[in-house]
Amino acid sequence: MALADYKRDMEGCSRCSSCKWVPFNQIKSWRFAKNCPSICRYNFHAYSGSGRMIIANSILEGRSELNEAVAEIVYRCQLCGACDTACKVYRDDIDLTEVLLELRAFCVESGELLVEHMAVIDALKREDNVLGEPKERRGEWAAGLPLKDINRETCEVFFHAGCRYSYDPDLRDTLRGAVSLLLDAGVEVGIAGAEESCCGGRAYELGYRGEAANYADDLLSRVKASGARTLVTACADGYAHLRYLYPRMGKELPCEVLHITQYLDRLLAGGRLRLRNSLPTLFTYHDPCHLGRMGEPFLSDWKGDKLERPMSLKRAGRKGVYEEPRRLLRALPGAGLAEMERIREYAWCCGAGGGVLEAFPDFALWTAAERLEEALASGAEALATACPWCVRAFRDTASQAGIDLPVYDLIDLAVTAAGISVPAPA
Amino acid sequence: MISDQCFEELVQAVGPENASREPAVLDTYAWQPTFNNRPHPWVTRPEAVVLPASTAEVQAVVKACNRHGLRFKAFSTGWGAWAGPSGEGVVQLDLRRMDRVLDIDEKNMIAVVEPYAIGGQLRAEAMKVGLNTHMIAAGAGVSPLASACAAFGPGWDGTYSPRNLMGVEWVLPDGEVLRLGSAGSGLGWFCADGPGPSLRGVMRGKAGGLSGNGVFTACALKLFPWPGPPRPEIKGLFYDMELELPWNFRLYLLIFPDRRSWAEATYSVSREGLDYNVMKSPIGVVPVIVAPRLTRKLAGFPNLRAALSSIQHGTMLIMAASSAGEMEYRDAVLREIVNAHSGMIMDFGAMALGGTFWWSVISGAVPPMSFRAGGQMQSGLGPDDAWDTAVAWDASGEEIKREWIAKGGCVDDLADACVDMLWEDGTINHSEELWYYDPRNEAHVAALKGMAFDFLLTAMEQCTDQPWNIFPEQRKLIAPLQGRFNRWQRELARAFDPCSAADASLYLGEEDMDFSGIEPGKVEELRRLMQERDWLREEEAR
Ligand SMILES: Cc1cc2nc3c(=O)[nH]c(=O)nc-3n(C[C@H](O)[C@H](O)[C@H](O)COP(=O)(O)OP(=O)(O)OC[C@H]3O[C@@H](n4cnc5c(N)ncnc54)[C@H](O)[C@@H]3O)c2cc1C
Ligand code: SF4
Ligand code: SF4
Repeated sequence: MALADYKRDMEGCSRCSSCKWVPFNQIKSWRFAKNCPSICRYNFHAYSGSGRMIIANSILEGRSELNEAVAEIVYRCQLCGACDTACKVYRDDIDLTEVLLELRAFCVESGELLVEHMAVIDALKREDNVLGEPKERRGEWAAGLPLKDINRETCEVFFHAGCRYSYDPDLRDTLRGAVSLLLDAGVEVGIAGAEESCCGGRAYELGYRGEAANYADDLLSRVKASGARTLVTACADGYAHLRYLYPRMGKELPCEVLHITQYLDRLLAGGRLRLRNSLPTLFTYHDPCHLGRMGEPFLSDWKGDKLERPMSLKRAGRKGVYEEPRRLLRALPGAGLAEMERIREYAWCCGAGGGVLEAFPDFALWTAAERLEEALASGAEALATACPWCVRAFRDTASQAGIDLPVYDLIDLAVTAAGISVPAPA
Repeated sequence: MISDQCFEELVQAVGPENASREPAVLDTYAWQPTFNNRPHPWVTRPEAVVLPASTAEVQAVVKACNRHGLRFKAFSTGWGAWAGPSGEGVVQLDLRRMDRVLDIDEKNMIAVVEPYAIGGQLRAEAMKVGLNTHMIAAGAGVSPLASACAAFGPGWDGTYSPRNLMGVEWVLPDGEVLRLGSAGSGLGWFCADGPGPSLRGVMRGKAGGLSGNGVFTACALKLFPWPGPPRPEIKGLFYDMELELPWNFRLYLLIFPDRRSWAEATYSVSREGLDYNVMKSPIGVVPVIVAPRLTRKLAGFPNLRAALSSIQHGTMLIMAASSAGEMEYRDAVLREIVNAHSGMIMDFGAMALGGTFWWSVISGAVPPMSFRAGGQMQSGLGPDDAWDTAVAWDASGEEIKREWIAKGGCVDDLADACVDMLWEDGTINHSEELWYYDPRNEAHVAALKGMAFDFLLTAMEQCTDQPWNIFPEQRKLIAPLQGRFNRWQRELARAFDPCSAADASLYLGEEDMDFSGIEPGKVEELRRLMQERDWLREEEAR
């Protein structure tokens, strides 16, 4: 599909601005009623989901041109999907996220590139990860763990670590904890180690379709070779890309794809994960966009009149992963859950996605700070989430902005409550 | 085109981050497809867009426009073609940075708000203290200030926006600030008519000035009691919504055998003050909102159409009470009224989706869903008048729609998407017949003009008020029948806007109506009625 294929979606926009608000039935206060970081930060209509669609339409109609300033507007957006979910409460015929994705591909095709994003893509091409870290060190996080090497052996569960977890020194123990929980439950886990590459999702989001397709092919062939029936990832970003973007590109993986919270939830239900140690803390839970609304699977590539599209094929965020992480949190002995006002399909973003962290770090920080304010307002003592990008964004923001709120990865909480020992790196 | 000097002054007024003349950004203000009868959705691109954050910044922008011969056009949320520029040389003020609820005075039941505090926000804050705001039927996403000060006002909750105004801060077209009522004397925001200047009628009129007479930067609004929970716990977004109707609310569907008995009974319900919300329940609206695809299919079966038509004369009623005894009393009165008119009561609140509907109406979440049917809607906007006038409009609206549905000019909503509202216990009432259309469907777009004309002609025939007289072609045509109100507005504008700095097309503009494409017989009939009904003609001739 190309940008022009979404012209009817653009022409359907009534400019009602519902895409700037949490669904109206869920507005609980003046303070936390808005949903789109971009319009909240920059205010011109151009920075809303609707605004970007109108810009796309204006360019397609030859009314205005794509230039550097316009490309910047396009990219000052986390691709968090909140606008799309809100619009779809009221509309059936507009796929806003699709337009935003196509608009980015259009920018790249037209040569309107951001240098910061080019740096990400260069790093990706050079080292197969979006952080530009040395490829050969990608598997170091797993040193000493009894994991299968899927490059040589078959396995039950293919564990995809993701770029952020693999290299972020603060998060490596979290990753070790995740696989340790699986191993403790007797699951046979395989990894690609140094051979693991980025899933390519970030390249897709930045508009670099060719690169994204190559990485999808790479992972697809590895999964096939591994014989795994289940792929588990702890990276919410990666989860969404595998569940949604891969099928959208026609590269669906031949296995079940689960986020670690879903897998742990199953282990918990089956009695293979026991949470014993008390964590007497009131948590709030941040729904990562890519685990929640953006993690909804690919449903269809509906070609005809979208007014005729069955509801079951409308991607509105309903099928995202919301309950499993919450069940895990509630199962932590002694822990409580205080919900924020904006949750589930209409959660506020952490700010790091869509290439914003790389290109506009001040905007990423501003967005995360807004979420931390909301977390504090919930009365919680700590924030838990289930995505390495969110954890990083919140911890950095809390320390830079002096916000006193501990931020946890749910995996770490599960490890502590399970009381398993995670071997130190060899 | 805007000069560099003028743009620089705008930048000075609001800061460089808050002024733009980037064509693509400006186009996001030129895209105004809603309530836009032109064959294309773009209105004229503004010269620049500014985002003022305070009254002083609004003044600075307005004064710059005065100095440089530009016109200004302000909006709050900007939904509808009336919010965009009417022609060249216009600076758009997008007021979204003025978004605060400045005060909620619980004891006196008053809120003070800025333009971009939307209905949904004000509702949520008011409910925390046992109050609620008047929510217009455009829903939670629009501005209560815009509604009360600048445009229209109808809603289902028994009141009408301009009636609730308790004070106004108004940047006049020359850039000066005027505070109306008690706020103008520094006594607080409790009365729009004094002590202090009382210009409410001049400021607002019936339809509102639509930014043609200045910019409103704050206002005080009357709040109403809310007997429900301070923060209803709602799960889900619509179909998946989970909630129970609070014990002290009822959601009833009242069905009557014919239009006359329905009209009498609904009027009595309102006269007796039984309603928290009351509206006609048009058979076209709920199915179109809930299941548009299914409705399209069902509409093709004559038997099903007939079955639905048999419940056409219905009213959706939300009742609230503060004690079980009060609810019992209300129920008893309602039963008496319904029985007297051979009607029946369906306890919709006790059925699946009952709670969902209740909250969707109360929270203002329903209206944007009307766009599910085709992507757009229009309105045969009818009278604000005696109930009988509204009921007559309903019947004509249905006839007009039936014809156009047969011609493929709009979505088939069983010819009944009529929105009736009764305000102030039925003292004044509103009716409009909506039609849904797909802006991407050529036949639908081509029908817009003809449908609007048919509603206009009907208004002339029935000698009713025609609120679309905000549009220049209708103003020129209809003003003679409405006491030549246009002359008075011109006089006011001369005094308030000496440099013609406001984009006042929807406040003062007058154009000849273009009758091309309209059946000549209908045009002739309209002209004949105009002659016949111009009640000031003879007086003027004398
Ligand atoms: C689908 C739909 C349904 C509607 N249904 C109803 C209804 O049931 N009842 C009803 O009353 N109205 C209705 N309207 C009309 C309109 O939405 C209302 O008048 C509403 O109050 C406008 O609020 P807004 O924030 O969208 O105003 P905007 O779209 O921002 O502005 C509306 C008009 O008021 C002017 N204006 C806005 N703010 C200011 C200001 N601060 N100072 C000066 N001028 C200003 C604008 O220039 C514009 O002409 C409907 C509109 C739509 C699109
Ligand atoms: S994108 Fe959807 S929600 Fe946003 S203005 Fe357009 S129609 Fe409304
Ligand atoms: S994707 Fe997120 S940041 Fe981007 S326009 Fe939509 S809501 Fe705003």
